[in-house]
Amino acid sequence: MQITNSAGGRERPCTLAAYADTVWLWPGVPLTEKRGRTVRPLPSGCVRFWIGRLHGFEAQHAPIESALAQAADHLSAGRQAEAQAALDAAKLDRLSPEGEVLMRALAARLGVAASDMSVGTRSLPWGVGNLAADLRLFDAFAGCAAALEKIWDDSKHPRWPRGDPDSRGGRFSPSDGEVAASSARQPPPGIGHNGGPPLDEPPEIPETAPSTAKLRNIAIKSIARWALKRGFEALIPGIGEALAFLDTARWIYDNLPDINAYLDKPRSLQDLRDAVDQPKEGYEVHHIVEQNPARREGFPENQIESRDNKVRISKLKHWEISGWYGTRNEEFNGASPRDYLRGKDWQEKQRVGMMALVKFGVLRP
Amino acid sequence: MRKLNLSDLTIDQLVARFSELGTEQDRAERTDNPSKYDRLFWQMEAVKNELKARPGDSRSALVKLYDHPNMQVRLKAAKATLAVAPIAARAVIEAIADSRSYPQAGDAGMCLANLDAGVFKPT
Repeated sequence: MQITNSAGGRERPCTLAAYADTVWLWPGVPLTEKRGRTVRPLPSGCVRFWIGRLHGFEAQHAPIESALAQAADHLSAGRQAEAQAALDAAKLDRLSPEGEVLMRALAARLGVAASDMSVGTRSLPWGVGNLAADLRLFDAFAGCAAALEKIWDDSKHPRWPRGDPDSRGGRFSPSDGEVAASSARQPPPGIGHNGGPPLDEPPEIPETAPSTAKLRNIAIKSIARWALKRGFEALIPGIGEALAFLDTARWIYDNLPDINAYLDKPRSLQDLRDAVDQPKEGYEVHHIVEQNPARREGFPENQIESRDNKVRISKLKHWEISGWYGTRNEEFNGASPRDYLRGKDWQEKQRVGMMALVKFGVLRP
Repeated sequence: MRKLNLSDLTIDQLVARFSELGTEQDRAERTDNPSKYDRLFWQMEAVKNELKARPGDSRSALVKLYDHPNMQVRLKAAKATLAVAPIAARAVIEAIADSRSYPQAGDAGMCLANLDAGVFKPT
């Protein structure tokens, strides 16, 4: 899979392409949007999020924002070749080790070709669990990936022969332009489009980040709850109703891992326990039997901190469960669950802890 | 501000009061204010007990809140009426548990589990 570097006239594999008034990340993730005649980059956090999937944290120092801004300007003026040259200048020419694994898995999943781009040499920092989650994220772009496959594969798209008097530098020949252009204007239905009737209105989110962590968390929590109720599996930057939030309140990008972790489907106890060894943004380690009360009551440390007692769960779910433990409840004659459990044996504490994981949608029954 | 004397209120006023407090409690949860949530819990308990003390036990008046637009109000009304309308109240709680609207869905699920385990015995 190669795409022509139109500025230098040479060919090398890359994951960014300027095409049909849009900058795309392999296999079909739009990194720009078109408003009227103006093409503009999606917010930096969104762009970094997607590029990080394939290029890893090594890409954090690449001049992506400036390259994308230049490319967007060129696309606004109809200069696709120059836009591609600007993207090439970002020198995103290496996949991260995990990005390569993801790319190969995505290629198989979406039925598109993988890149022969070189790969960084460090070891894989994460396991299969993350790969599965990342794979699902890209499902929303399956339609674009299929429509755009030709732009990543020279064998499938005819370019203007060099020196052709009718050549329009950097553009593909006329027959194949409309498919992707149409895809660019109408992102395919995917996560974020449940196809059902309108349900609750999205929560009102401030355009700028609230001044305190508490206020930010309240806003993030309201989005996550709304999205879960709507049946979303993830909020994908640039797609569906996520766009409505993220376009007006770009500060939310930093909290997407929290929101998307909240949208996880319930998992098996073994999965939740195994994940404890794999820290991940948006998640926290939760003690099934609450650690502080258990410690105060003299339960042994090796029991409290045992693998059996720890699971990795969504941070926001963790807060919800802790909130339930700490507030008054009719079921315990007005005591909080935490107060009710004071003095109870380990089995009863564990029964309530396991049940809370099930009832708050974390653990598969 | 004069302290509200619940014994002066009619049944309908008590139901309205219960509804207001439930809505406030929902807001307290959403804004991460657990101490206010707990204060409101006791205020709602007082309204419930006032209804219970009325001739013939008037807690069943809270059944009209089963259709309230606020889920916290519906959940609290259903829990408060488990002793007087057990089948209907349980159906409301089950619907909330299945709603994926957290934290009420979690609270409702735990309520059902505690009912089934005999930990919660509504009286």
